[in-house]
Amino acid sequence: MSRRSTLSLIGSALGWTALAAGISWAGWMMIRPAPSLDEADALASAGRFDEAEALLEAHLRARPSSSEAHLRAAQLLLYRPAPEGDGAEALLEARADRAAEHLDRVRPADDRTAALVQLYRGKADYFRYNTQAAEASWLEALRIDPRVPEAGWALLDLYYLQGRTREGRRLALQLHQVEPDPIDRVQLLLELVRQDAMPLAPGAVVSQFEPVVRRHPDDLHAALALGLGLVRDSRAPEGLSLLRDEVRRHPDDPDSWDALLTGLDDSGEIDLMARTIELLPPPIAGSPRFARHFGRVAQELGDWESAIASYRVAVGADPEDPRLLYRLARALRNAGQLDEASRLDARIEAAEQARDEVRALYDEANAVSDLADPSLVPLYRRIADQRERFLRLREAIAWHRLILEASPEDPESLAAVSRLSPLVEGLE
Amino acid sequence: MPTMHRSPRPPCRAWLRSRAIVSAVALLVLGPACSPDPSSDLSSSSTVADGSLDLPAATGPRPHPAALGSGMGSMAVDLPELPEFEPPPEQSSTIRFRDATDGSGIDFEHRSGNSPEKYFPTANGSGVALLDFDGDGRLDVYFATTRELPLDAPSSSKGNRLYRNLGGGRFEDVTESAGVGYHGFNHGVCSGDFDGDGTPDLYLANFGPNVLYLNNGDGTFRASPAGSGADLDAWSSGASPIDFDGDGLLDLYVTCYGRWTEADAERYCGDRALGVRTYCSPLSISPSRDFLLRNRGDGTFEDASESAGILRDDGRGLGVVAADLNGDDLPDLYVANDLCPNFLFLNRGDGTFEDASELSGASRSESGFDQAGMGVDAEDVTGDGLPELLVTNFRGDYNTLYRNLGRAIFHDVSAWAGIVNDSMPEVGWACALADFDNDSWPDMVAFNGHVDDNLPLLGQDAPYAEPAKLWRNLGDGRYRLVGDAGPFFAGAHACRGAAFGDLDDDGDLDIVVSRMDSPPALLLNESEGGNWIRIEPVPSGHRSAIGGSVEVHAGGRVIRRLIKGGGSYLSSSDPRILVGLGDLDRVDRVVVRWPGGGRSELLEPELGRSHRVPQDDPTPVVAGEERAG
Repeated sequence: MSRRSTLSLIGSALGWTALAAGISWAGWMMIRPAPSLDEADALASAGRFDEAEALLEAHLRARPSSSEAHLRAAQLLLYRPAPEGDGAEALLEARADRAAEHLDRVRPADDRTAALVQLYRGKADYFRYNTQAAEASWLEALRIDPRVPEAGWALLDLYYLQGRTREGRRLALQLHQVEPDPIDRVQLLLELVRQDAMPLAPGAVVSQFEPVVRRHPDDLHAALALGLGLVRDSRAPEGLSLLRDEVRRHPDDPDSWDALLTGLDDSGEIDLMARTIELLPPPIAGSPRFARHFGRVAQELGDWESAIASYRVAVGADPEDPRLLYRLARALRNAGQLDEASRLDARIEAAEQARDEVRALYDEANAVSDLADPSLVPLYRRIADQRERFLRLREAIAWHRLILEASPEDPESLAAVSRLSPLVEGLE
Repeated sequence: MPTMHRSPRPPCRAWLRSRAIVSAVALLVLGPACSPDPSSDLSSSSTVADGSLDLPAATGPRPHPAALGSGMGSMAVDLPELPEFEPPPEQSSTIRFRDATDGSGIDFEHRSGNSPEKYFPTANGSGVALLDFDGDGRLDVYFATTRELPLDAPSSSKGNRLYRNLGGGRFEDVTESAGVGYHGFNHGVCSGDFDGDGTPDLYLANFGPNVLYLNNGDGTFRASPAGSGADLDAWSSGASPIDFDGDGLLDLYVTCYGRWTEADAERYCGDRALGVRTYCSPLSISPSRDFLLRNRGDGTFEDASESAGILRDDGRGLGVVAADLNGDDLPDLYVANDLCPNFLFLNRGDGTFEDASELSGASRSESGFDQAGMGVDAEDVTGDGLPELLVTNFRGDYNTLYRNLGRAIFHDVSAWAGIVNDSMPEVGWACALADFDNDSWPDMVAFNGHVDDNLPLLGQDAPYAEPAKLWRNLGDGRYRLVGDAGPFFAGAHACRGAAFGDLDDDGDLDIVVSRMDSPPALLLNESEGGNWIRIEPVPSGHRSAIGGSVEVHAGGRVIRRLIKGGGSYLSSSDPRILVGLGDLDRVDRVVVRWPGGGRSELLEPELGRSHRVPQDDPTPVVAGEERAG
């Protein structure tokens, strides 16, 4: 055998040996014992989170492509108790970063897993002050699987903080219709009661969104929430400046214009409000949603007839805003249209009384352990009544429908649904 | 498979979202703790339900404008420039005050009773009364003070004090000799001739039984006996004298804040974890009724609230002003309520009132919100003869100016008046619509100070001491903040009550301000003033002129000023009517409109002096006492 042949034979043998070793190693990696995921669960249940995390990391070293392990690792990082003390914020963000890395390596085998990935991704983004990305992920989670309730709750919280009551109310009512858990169905409606009972202090909104906007200045709704929060926290110059910048960034977005005009209204800059209205893009200016702003300017000019016309449109578009109703009533009275003004005044007084009742009513309902108990119909009825008087008509209908589920022939609820449904037709 | 978690329980989120102080870190830190149990079983057990949601399109983060290069969006928007919030305050205003407290002889110091327990009544402070108790022609000053709670605990308070005006900016403490050194929990004080003897008495609105000090006419007072009906035992805030039924006997309207006992102090507000306790919200106090006390004329008073048609138990009453608010020469009432609708009671002239509160538009803001009303005043600021209303409110809300549209209709024109932004940062208490520079247009002042002295410990940028603010009337009811009204306005204070009057008899309005746990401030007016005239209405038979008004006809204008009771915050001001005339150097006539009807006229009165106008004299007179201008 020639020298060349010998070397070639040796090389081939080495190559095959390496290949066999590699295959064996891979096989060994696949079958070698990896730390148990159940064991990690048990450690987490016992509050031994660092050990659970280490065990999951070990599992992933043995099974680096395990989607389930990556998902659990992400979950553990996001749901373990938050750190405290110095460096807590940085640690929380670091955990969120690692969770996101794990989530990038999950290959969802089904919709439910895909929805969970989006849920957790949203949470990771939320911890990293990226509320816009968080919202997108949670919406995607719900789109994939509406039965990921935590995504819905997370969105409700976010909308509440951002003052996006329209979106929040709409989402809660939608989730209520598809939620399979009977207690959670009621809880979703009760959440809307809670939001009326516990309005946010402007300073809390500012504290919440200042770090968000600082890190993500492109987050429109965070910037709008911060801007309005600043205005209402007696920092009008900063707030209005921020809102104006958002209109410049998003000149086609009605939310940016609405927030700026609302900020100008809240800070009493009505002259400026009038000049800003003149710059509204036509599609936005013609929207009933913006009629309220036209009404406000007319009101300030003492042009009661124009104010009345605008507020009628505004109330038609949003019959659930007591503020609009009050302004319409005052404009009518100032214009001498006393009969209609008096009718509206009666509704307004009822709404004021309902406002005074909301906290106690919420506390009572919140203390109930099983909100789906059919014996709670009297409570449901009181809440439905409060919601109706407080002009939350769609919620009132939802509460009455709960009553009808327990008592399908209930005459009062049948009549209420029949009475209220036409009033909310076409509402978003 | 990971489990489908049950939705988070609201009580945790409820804590987060309450009006308690919340920090951003707390929101984020506690967020996960409100999430499903992280140690829960990760295996799936949920059932699947059908259902879909009509959700908005999920959009990713929008690119930062800087990344877009030139031309962002479909159009550029040339928005109007924001004002310099607002036009910079006037730096060379005609209005200026000198702090003359030092060297005045006034050594009173208020005691709030503020303690770690944060008993709610100790937040509201006290008022000041200006009255000429000894009839020497000079305004004297009476200071009210609260004290520590409970009422039977030892107190460091030296009690209420009365200072006699010696002239020349000097005052002498005559409390002991006068017998008005009340040691109690006194919020509001008002002055009026309740026994009809021609001398001003003092009424103290207390947490506890109220006190009526009757002036003996010799420099001393005696306390009205217990059981007189004036000694209401409630949580009274302020009071205003008013002869509501026109019988010539001076009645009283007493505001009450609510129901509170020491047991209520067990409620903890603030951040227990940080050990920072704050005052609870007014919403924690149940509202209670006010009292309209009818003077029987025999030293006793009876509760006429119900018979008069104004018994309401839904107010947390603070400031009150009695004046003719609808031009019918009858004294009406306007009450500031804290986070409740303000009250407007219009006198019908038959011993009853019309409750016009809600219909008038003066009970709430222009968008229908109950505001935290504290101080009040009424005066015509637009020159149309109809008096406007002013209410001071809490931080984060603006002071509200209601324009009188006639027909008992008022409209919140605070934005139009230009006072929204400048008044939102502070907690407002005493206030006035008063012409400080004698240019014939009532200016506006608010004395401020927070309730809590420890909010910075909770990370809030909310100091306890706040600047007082003064706005000059631009000549039509719109206002502009005065940037340099004197050293007092350049500093920060925890103010509460204030009274307004010409203490040094130089023809302009001075101010005495009560400050929490501090000496008061005696602010002498040194404005570059215009011409002036002062009217001292003298009703017949020692009746009250409250509900009347003074009209000065000059230069083709009619300048109308109300004769008021109460006003400001828990305080009582100079009963004489000082009318600024600006450049007008001649007055055609002055008309005094008496409550209940009747007129007296003064023809071509001399400017720069006081004129006593007696109701009894049926003929036009040119008369007055010699008062140095």
